[in-house]
Amino acid sequence: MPKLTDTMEEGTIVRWLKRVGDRVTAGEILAEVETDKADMELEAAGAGTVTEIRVAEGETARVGAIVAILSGPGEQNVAKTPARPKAVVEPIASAAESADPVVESPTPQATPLARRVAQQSGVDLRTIAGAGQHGRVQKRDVTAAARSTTAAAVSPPVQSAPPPTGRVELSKMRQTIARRMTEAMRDIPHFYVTNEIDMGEALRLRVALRETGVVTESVSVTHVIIKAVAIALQRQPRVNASWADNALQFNDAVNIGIATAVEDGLLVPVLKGCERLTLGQIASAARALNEKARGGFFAAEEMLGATFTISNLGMRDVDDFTGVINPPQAAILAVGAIKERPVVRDGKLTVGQTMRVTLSCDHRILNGVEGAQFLEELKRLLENPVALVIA
Amino acid sequence: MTTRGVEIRRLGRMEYGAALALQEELRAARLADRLPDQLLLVEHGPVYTLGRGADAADLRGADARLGVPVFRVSRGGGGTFHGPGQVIAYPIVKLCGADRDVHRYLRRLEDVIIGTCADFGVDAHRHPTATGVWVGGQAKIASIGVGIRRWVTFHGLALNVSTDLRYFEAIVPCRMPGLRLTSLAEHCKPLPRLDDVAAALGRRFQREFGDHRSEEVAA
Repeated sequence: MPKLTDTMEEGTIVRWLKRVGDRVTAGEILAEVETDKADMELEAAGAGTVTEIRVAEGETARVGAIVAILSGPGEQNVAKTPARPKAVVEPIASAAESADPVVESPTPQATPLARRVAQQSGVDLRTIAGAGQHGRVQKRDVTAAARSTTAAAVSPPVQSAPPPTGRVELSKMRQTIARRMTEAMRDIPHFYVTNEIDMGEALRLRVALRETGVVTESVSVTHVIIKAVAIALQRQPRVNASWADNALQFNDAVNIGIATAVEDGLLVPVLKGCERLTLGQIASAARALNEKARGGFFAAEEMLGATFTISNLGMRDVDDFTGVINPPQAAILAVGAIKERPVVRDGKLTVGQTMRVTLSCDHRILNGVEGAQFLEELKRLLENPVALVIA
Repeated sequence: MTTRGVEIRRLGRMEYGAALALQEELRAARLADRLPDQLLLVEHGPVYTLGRGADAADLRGADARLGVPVFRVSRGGGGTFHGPGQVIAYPIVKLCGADRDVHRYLRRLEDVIIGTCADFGVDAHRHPTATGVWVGGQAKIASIGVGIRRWVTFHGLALNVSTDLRYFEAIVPCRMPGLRLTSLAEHCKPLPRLDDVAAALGRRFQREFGDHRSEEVAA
């Protein structure tokens, strides 16, 4: 079910205009949908043949639910390609829209490792029949294909793509990002609060967790930060609220979007219900989402409903930066790299490992003191991280 | 960025079926960019219409009892009544860019109606959960039900000026049993002329939808 508006939660299929077996082209109308007081259309996100209709006429589906399945184009040369069902879940006007090019990619289902190996060895994934589950292409399929190609013919040297020149059309994902970010900067009065956090204890916590085996899942700094943010958001519910047209929507759930760079764009998979998750659960859920996003697979519902976003550039050499708020959220946290910096502890100058974080706040929802209080809370938690393990 | 206006067509009394056919025609022309955005302002003779969510039982047989024709139409919402003393507005607007958001469109229509009511000294407002415009938190003065095809709108809104509200009382309006409707007549003295209300609504609409909007190339 496509999201036809940011506040839409469900839609009712009024009438299917296509039946199982019908071929459709991208943009063709598949069905009429009713939401609230509006009667709308469901457009096909890509070309293909309707192989299954899951939501009958008159039935209601949540946003992000699969309402029908389109199978990919059936050209001869892809006959061997594992038929990857393409879910008709094109969310519109939401961060999840950026999911579209990935979800609708005509390349077959493959593991992230297989994709990387394929790219390095110049193998076209579409020419490989995967041996994995549901025909998923695995690394060994790619290496086998690479071997047979080199044996059969002298393969041309892998040409690295020439640097782009001239006018280049933006991908749909980039277009979406461009539009949404422009709207956000235009409509939201942003202000910024920065704090510096001593991460020494948090780094030692990771080591302690590993050595004592308290948390079996491998915990990264990002996971520790997510957990601390989740607790801070519960203590400062206003930062977890959403702008609702001259009103505030307080959110019980703490759903944290994690800005994730992907090829030619950015996705924001959402960790739902962080208020209920332990550090270990956050680590495993975040890792699974990250892998899905990079592998190009996720359900649309995994991209929707964030109440707060973290943008972490800590893996790059960045001291601090500011993020653009994802409406209707109240704030976004920009996380810089942990670096050795001078720290004053008990009146003495020492070298500490510190991290700068900047909170971009929607001034319609938050004022400066509230933004500062949130960062103080976050600092307290990360500098005394025992709370992150017992909570 | 282009500045452009909405073309407002005041059509007076018009039969429901004819207005529907005209909307279809204008919708196709608007989609093809042969026309700018349009606002049709009309008044209908008594008619019940059923939206996508309506059950024929919502009419409670009032159509047969009162001899009122019924149309089942492709707009959102339940059953409603249109008749004399009501300003009907059918926007044929191409939604572009950030405006491609159904709820945003509904909220903007509500703003237009709230502004129009204010022009006649009536303090109207939104309901937190139910689309439409309300007075005093209890009674609905205007109903909204829209259709959108290829991001071009049709159907629209009905604002009660001096409507005979008994036509609503005979049915389950808007899927809300017991819903009370009201009209400007219940809140304004002297009663404004229907034409004046239509003109005010046109001005409010022009202000909301007609100014400095960025024209986006249709994808």
